[in-house]
Amino acid sequence: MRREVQGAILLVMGVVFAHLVLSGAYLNYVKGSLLVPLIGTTLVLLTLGALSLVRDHEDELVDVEPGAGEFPACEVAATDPREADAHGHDHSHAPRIGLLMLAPLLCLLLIAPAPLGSYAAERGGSNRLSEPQVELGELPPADEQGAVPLTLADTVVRSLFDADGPMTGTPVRLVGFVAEDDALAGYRLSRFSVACCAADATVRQVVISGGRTDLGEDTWVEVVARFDGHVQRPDGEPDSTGLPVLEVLSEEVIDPPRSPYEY
Amino acid sequence: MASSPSTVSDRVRTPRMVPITATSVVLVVVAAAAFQRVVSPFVDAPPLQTWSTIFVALMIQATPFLLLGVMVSGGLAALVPPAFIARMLPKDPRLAVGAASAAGTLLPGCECGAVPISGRLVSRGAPPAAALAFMLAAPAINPIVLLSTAVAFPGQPEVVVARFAASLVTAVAVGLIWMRIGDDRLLMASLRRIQDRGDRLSTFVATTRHDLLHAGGYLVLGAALAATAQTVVPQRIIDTLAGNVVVAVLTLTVLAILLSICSEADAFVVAGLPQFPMVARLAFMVVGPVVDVKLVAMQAGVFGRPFARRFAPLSLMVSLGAALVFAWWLL
Repeated sequence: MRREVQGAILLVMGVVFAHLVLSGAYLNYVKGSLLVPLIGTTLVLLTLGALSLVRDHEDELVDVEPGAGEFPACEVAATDPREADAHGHDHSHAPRIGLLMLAPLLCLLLIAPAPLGSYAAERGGSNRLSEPQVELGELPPADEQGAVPLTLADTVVRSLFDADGPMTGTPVRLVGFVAEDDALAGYRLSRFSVACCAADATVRQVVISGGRTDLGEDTWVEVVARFDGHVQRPDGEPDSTGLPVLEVLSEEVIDPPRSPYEY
Repeated sequence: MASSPSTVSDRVRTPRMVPITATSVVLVVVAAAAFQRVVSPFVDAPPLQTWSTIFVALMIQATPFLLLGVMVSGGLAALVPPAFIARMLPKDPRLAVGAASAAGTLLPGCECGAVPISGRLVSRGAPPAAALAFMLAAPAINPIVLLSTAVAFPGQPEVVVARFAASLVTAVAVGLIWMRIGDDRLLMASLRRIQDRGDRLSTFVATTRHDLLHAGGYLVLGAALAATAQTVVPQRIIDTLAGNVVVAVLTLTVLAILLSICSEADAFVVAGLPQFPMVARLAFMVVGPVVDVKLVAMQAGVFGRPFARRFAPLSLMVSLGAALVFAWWLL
């Protein structure tokens, strides 16, 4: 694979990363604190790509020591000791496997994958978390409508492990997407908790009782609801988990948030 | 007698129907962007979308750390004289293994960066066993990973200590064992030596670019495998395997290998599996940064497949053993 091709690959990678950063789309895949490393990555990729395209005199990467030859990790002249002397012109070799770096770019551009939604939520285990070993703090202050904004993760932890705590009986404001479950008389308000990137995402869900029945899956809603101590333990789920049931007070369909995951 | 350049090139170039040029690369990518709307009704099946999200996410998350690693390896190639590393490390190869393992605390981030650096260390004169020990230690004992573990298991510092100890012991043990039974010819055959010519910037750019595309290509394979495992494995089945201790340990070990979760995040994933015994969860955290499909793919790329075929089972057994020992002792 010639130097210019390598340079082209790096440049298009840089352009795609630049797009991910500038449009905010990176938040669909990785956590927000990766922004600075991603900016650095974009700049380095663009620079390396440009340098590779314009420089016309370069080091060759060649084997000084001929190897055993049957173990080609790189496609090029790994076995030919004369390669070092034979070239009057320069070219830099990199193995063809580097072309695979285009695969995630093409996947991103062609498929434009959406953030994890109801399909992944229904397949993964819901509310997989362990009892916190430290004290849960006070609730954040309520907003003007008297509801406390909470993450779904926080809501689930408090419902399962702090049922006598300050959240029970208090209206809370939650944002999540709808994942329906036909067996229940309400939908599951869901959101993924992410530590690093979408690959480690786990879903947090609560059942919204008394809510609308016409909401489609993956609709984003903002809900004000109240936990009164009722937790469902569906069959087949481990004892350590459960689905808190919240009584709905108000619902509003919203646009998908810029940052679909919770951290 | 040297052959003429064109003969050598012809012999070397893999015959291909379509020559790959810079222009064609750019055209393919632009076409993909342009045709997205046309293609989108055919690609909105939820399993495909979920797979793609995870695949793309793994690559976006890994690239900054991979780039950091290849830039360090490029710097090693351009700035560090060949015998320097060998002089820096202790003469006794066993101490060198220990020193290299401890040095793992210095490289923050994902395991993706450690593999190219390790390869470059060897070609700069480090004894392979020490470089391999560094490669195993760096992803598992760096401050970010330890901090994440502490955050995922608040109030349980013994988990952080157990993870640190088991991973460090794994790195040192594998290094020492490799010194005894490992065949260094396997990995030397695949490494490229740098012929120092020209200016440092050229060497740096060429090495960084080469290592990025080389390791990155294999990383793509590993990420695709991991995304498949994550989309295909149903949670219900995993839950039923938590009851028996032996089955639980085996289950989480296999999952650690297949899911290839980044070492900074695996503590959070496993904190969410309280139905599994702690020994199984520690195994997930210790085995994961040492043996997973992403890593094995990259090791096969940088050090060659015959190397990976020996090294992966070795590091798996040692890391699992270390996890069992420290779980029994500390947890």
